[in-house]
Amino acid sequence: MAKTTLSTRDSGYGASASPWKAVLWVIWLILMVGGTIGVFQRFSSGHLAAGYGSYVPWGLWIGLYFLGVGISGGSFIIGAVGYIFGIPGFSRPSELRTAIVLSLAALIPAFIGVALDLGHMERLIKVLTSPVFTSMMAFNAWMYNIFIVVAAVSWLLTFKDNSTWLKPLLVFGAFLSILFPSQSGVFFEAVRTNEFWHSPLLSVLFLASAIALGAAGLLFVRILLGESGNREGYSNAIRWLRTIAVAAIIVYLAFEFAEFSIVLWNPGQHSPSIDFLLFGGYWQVFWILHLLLGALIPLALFASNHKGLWAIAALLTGLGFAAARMCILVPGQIAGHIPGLQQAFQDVRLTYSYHPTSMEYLVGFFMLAVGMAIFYVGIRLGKTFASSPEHGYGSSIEQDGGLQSGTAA
Amino acid sequence: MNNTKDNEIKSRRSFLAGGALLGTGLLISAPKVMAGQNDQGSSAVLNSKRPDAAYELVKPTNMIYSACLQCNTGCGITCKQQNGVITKIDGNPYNPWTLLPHLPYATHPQDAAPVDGSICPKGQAGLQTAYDPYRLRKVLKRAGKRGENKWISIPFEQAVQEICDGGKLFAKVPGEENREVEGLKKLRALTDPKVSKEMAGDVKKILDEKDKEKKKALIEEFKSKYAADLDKLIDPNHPDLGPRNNQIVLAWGRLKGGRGDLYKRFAGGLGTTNAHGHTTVCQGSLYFTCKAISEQYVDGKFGDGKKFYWQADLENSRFVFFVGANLFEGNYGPPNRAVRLTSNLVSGYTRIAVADPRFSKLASKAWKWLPIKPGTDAALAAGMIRWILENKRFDAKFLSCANKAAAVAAGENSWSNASWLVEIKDGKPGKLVRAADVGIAQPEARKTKDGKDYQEKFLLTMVQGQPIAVDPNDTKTPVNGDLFVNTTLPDGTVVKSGLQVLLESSQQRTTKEWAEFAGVNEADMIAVARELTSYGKKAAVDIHRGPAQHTNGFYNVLSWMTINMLLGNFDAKGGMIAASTYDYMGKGKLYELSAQPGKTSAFGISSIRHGLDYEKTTIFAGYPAKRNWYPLSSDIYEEIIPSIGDAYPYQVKALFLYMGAPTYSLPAGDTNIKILCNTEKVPLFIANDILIGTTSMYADYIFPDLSHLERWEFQGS
Amino acid sequence: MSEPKGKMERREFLLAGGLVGAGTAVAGVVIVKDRMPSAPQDPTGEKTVRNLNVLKNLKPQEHEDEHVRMQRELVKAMAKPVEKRHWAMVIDTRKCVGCHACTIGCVAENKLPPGVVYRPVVITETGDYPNVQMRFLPRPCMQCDNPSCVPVCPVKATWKRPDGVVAIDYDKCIGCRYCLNACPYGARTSDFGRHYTGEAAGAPSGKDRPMEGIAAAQWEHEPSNEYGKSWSRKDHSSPVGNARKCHFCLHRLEVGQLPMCVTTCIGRATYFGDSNDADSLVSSLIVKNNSQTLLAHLGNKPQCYYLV
Ligand SMILES: Nc1nc2c(c(=O)[nH]1)N[C@H]1C(S)=C(S)[C@@H](COP(=O)(O)OP(=O)(O)OC[C@H]3O[C@@H](n4cnc5c(=O)[nH]c(N)nc54)[C@H](O)[C@@H]3O)O[C@H]1N2
Ligand SMILES: Nc1nc2c(c(=O)[nH]1)N[C@H]1C(S)=C(S)[C@@H](COP(=O)(O)OP(=O)(O)OC[C@H]3O[C@@H](n4cnc5c(=O)[nH]c(N)nc54)[C@H](O)[C@@H]3O)O[C@H]1N2
Ligand code: SF4
Ligand code: SF4
Ligand code: SF4
Ligand code: SF4
Ligand code: SF4
Ligand SMILES: [Mo]
Repeated sequence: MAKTTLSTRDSGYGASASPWKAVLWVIWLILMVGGTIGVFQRFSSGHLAAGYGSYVPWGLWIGLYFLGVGISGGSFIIGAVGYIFGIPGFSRPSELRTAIVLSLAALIPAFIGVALDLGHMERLIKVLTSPVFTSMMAFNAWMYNIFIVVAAVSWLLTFKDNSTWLKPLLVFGAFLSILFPSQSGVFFEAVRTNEFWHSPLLSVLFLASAIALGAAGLLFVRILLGESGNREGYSNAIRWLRTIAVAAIIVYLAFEFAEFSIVLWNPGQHSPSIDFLLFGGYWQVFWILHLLLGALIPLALFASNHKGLWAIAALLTGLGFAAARMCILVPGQIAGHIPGLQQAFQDVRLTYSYHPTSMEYLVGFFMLAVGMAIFYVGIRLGKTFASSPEHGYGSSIEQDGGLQSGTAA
Repeated sequence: MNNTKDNEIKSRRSFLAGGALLGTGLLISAPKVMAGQNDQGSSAVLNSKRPDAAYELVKPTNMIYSACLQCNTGCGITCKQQNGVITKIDGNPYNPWTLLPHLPYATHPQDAAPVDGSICPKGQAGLQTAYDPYRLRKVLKRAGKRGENKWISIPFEQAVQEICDGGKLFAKVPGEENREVEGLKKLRALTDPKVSKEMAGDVKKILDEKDKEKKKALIEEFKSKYAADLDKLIDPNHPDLGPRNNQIVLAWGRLKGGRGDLYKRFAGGLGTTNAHGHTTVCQGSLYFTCKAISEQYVDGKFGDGKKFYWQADLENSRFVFFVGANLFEGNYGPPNRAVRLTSNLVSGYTRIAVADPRFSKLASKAWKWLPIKPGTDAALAAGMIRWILENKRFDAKFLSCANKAAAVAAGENSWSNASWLVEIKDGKPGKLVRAADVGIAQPEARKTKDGKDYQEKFLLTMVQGQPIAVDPNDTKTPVNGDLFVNTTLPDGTVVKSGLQVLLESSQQRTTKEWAEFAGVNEADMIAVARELTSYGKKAAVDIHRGPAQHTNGFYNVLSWMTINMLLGNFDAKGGMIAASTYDYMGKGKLYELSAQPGKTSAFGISSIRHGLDYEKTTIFAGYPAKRNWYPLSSDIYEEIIPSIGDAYPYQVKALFLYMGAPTYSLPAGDTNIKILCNTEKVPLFIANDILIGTTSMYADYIFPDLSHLERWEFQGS
Repeated sequence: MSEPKGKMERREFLLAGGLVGAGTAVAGVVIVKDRMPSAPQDPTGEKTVRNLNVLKNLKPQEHEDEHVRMQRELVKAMAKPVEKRHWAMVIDTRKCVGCHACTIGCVAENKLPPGVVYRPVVITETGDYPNVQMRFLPRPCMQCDNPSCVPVCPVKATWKRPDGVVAIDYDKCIGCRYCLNACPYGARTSDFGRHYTGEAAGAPSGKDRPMEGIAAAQWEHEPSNEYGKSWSRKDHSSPVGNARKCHFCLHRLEVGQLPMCVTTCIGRATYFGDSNDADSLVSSLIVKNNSQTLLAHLGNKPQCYYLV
């Protein structure tokens, strides 16, 4: 806390400039306080305060984990590609750094979610020390860690004048970040005994959502950070990001429809998972959160040319894909293969239903708060390094303007 | 794994583990490699750093053989412990109910140890009964109104002291500040064995006296004879109410051998005649029917019937018709009955049908399920009886045996009253005809078992139309009677054979009507009847509480047992057999705890008015009596508390309840609660329970009991 | 204002290609490598031979209880090295009376806490009155020959043993519950660290009740003997936090005892033995024409068979 109040002070100039910033600080504090309570509960009563059990083993945190992975991969790809091809608004080191920092700020909290989900957190390291790569979990864990290194190194290299290693690393990073969202799909597809998950479309869906999330995420933070004295670059980037987000969302919806349409036109194929997803107790998550708030409304808002609305659209997109994650995660678990199993041995943790608990939501807050903190610190570090004499190139966002309200445009 | 130091540590550890396993002795004889010992370290089953551990539950030294009483079937069990705590209960391999055939008794415990018998889940949960966190560990004394569930715990000695001495025991409870409770010392008024014995004899005389005046005289005589002890009676003017000791009532739920002896001994010590079990809420009418049908012809009268509990011989039956028997969920009991049935079902040797209003788990194995209307068993049976008789599908050879000689000659295990003649008065069957009364035979002077003289008048049967006198117990001259007789004797007496009477009563309705009455399909009923009569004696109707637990239970059971009679399957392989158990008292009755020299002999009308005719008593006051009388049955659970409520035949001062919950287990048992809460009607109520139960919660004192794993109790039933 | 150049030079391009190529190659290699059957992590050979004198002093009686016969066969199988045995279970649903003795026997034998069950008995009711039926389906772990639960484990904590049993090493398991999702039979449940008597004692929450189960009765704290080792659940130690499942009672086999759910089966519906032994009872039952496996279409090759 002390640290944050401090940093609030020395970035004071921004605060005056941006009413958003004050709001964000308040939101962050709320999330952090709530989150801390959640984490405390998690440690004081183990998994007992959680809603998942043995028949639905994975809950909200795993959903958020895959959300984070998506944002991370997406923003890195876009940032890297934009930088490599020198697209105005992406071509500056500072602009690249923003993408990298966002990528890491999304990935690291995602790990927190998985870690807290483990029955033996202290053995987390085993995934790296004694992995079996037939398991998507081991494979992804390794890939992410390599990616973190790659991303971190690239971030450092952005301060070096025309380094030969930067772009190759970016390419490799981009390669990984294309790989791992799609591998996240395989994480589920690999469960060959689960009809709902065992569909190659998941990889595509995860990739599309990653791009959408990356675009939306970058869009939001770029608007948040303001023009940084490169007006046309800035608005060019914003427009690009909007286009990418819109395209990716549409692709996602298209493939999703492709997936369900089989079922809808082939009643014989009608699976309990789909029934649950579309008409079950949590139908709102699909229809309202994912489809309406998370996709259709953002598309509409993106259609306008008011950047403020785009920022909102970006946020909604994030929310929407969080819901979309749950729409893949939960239905895949609520339909057991053996009818009557749930009645065979009665226990709260032996039911084919899942209701996230307050503790789970609070931990979710924590993940979000940590992400925000990492992003903030990352950006400030970038600023500090960049402003130090030895790499004095180009006016970067940190130097002029600072954090400004995107609505100024 | 190549770190030598590491290996050293491991191998030493594994050596220890191996040693531990060795300790189990019987497990491994000179094994090539000791479990838990190899180059990897401790890993007999699993390679890992975690050391192997010996399996405690297979060591004979950790096993205690006992009897399960989670339900009162009483299977043999092996209680297995680790660190002195029982963590597993399995079937006892020496026990025929859990292993079939069981291990020879000569088997050495070390050889028996690794063999587990099979028991039901309730039995395995026994350790949860023993280690129940809610178990009482101290005597609880009521600290609030009855049922308010406020308690203080007091030392055992204090509780005994208070209960014996009485006094203002509940002065602290609002409203009971001045309530004097009579202690057992006061209530146990009559203590002299000699006097009580004499009184008992004289009271019997009074009861047996039919003439009103003479009865009065006997009472006066009694009063003057025992003038010194009249204060010890409940009411000197009604000596047949017995001593004040009778105002102490002992009731129990499930009680088995050993425990039962102790409880009876307790009752004996208190000198009360009121020690009543719960049988009527269980399957009393089944017992009493079997008692009735097993009555023997002794000294010219019928008596000596036994409370049999007949079951089908599942190992050998070809067809069993289960009626209201819940084999796999209840009954006596899942382990011993299931193991004898399932293999035969699968091999096709045995077929079963089930009559149950409920589709039971047993019904799921049945060739036919008859969804009978509750309480209509007699109707269903009548329909089947009619079909069986009219289609001549009964065991004529067995039924015609009129006496023992005939049965022996025919190779039957028993004989019946099917051919004995019954007197018909204005169309209704009456008594069995005595040959001597109708001039067919001369009375014969004989001596009873206890040496009294009496005139044997013989029964009567028809042999090819000729009336013949029979002595059922005659072992010399076989008599095979005609089965269907409807005629008039030379002296004008109208007679019918037993079987004829049965046929006619079954013909009061058509088979269709009987079936409809019972709510089953006639074709199904007949199909079952046909199947039932297609395997000779290797078929049976196996019944339990379903038909028994109704106000018409006696007739339901009698009807079903009659069908078994028509099959002639009693004591036959594959037919009906009476369960027998090992005598827990040991050879020579080593542990006969109820034998109690110099105890006062209890006498007098019981608080539930059983085993005695209302009319005989001195409190006879015309009809209707204040409450029912039960001359034939005993252990009438549902009467114990209501009788106390009505203080009829007399007021009760102290009630003991052991392992029972009548307020829960009785139909309308909740009506008992009002009575139990009334300190006027029940001045002292002492319960014995392992926890605060649904009825013991109304007690003044609750004594914590030992669990079935800790106490002296066996399957003697 | 040095605008970074918008394309890559040849050198950068090669480097990039190299990195990506190498990455792909490495990924490929490790995955393929881990697909290959690796040396068993279990003891094998001579050191797994058990010469048990169980039942040796008992002459076979005629019409011996099937349980005793199978126990004799078990002793015979244990005299072979582990890789020569292949354990299989056969459940005759016609003989199963739905009593749940096996479920509870297993719970007690393996000290399973609330929410953990290795062998529930599924009861299904079908039909409409008066044509109704009830079916009983006990469901242990199928010890699949092609177990879908094994490849998903990220840390080698669960694997197929030489004798066919799919084992879990609670000390390795990180509790990610991936395998729970991968088992189509719902045979794996997670130990969340609860205690029956602890909960019965009704301690409000927190330390006293669910987590440490301090209020729980002693018998719940006694260690289980799974895999022939001592597992005490005190202080959240394994198997708390781990995936748990039926292991065919390996620890009982070690000492010449049949699995608990077999010995306690009052309907004599559960058969167990070595399917590599042609003379064993199970071998003769597996090939019966009414023998089936659950969810065969999923290709898990269950080693638990059902006679229907
Ligand atoms: N609705 C309905 N009623 C029924 C029946 C039915 O099937 N349905 N079944 C009937 C039958 S067959 C019977 S036998 C009766 C049984 O009914 P009861 O004979 O009244 O026995 P329970 O109702 O079992 O009550 C048992 C009491 O004993 C206590 N107890 C348990 N273990 C011990 C112990 O070790 N020692 C002592 N001292 N107390 C202990 C329990 O806490 C409980 O308070 O119920 C009958 N009532
Ligand atoms: N689990 C368990 N087992 C027990 C006991 C226990 O408390 N729990 N107690 C033991 C004792 S004390 C006893 S007495 C036995 C009782 O064992 P059982 O008498 O075999 O079983 P119940 O469930 O009492 O009743 C038998 C069946 O009768 C059916 N039924 C009900 N009404 C009628 C009817 O009018 N006609 C017919 N034909 N059937 C009817 C019921 O649906 C039930 O399926 O169980 C013993 N075993
Ligand atoms: S049937 Fe046997 S094992 Fe089961 S509870 Fe009754 S006595 Fe115990
Ligand atoms: S049943 Fe499930 S847990 Fe058991 S081996 Fe098969 S897949 Fe694995
Ligand atoms: S829960 Fe344990 S055994 Fe299952 S996959 Fe995760 S680590 Fe492996
Ligand atoms: S084999 Fe053992 S572990 Fe598996 S279900 Fe049976 S008793 Fe439980
Ligand atoms: S113990 Fe046997 S009979 Fe009972 S449920 Fe289990 S398998 Fe079926
Ligand atoms: Mo009973």
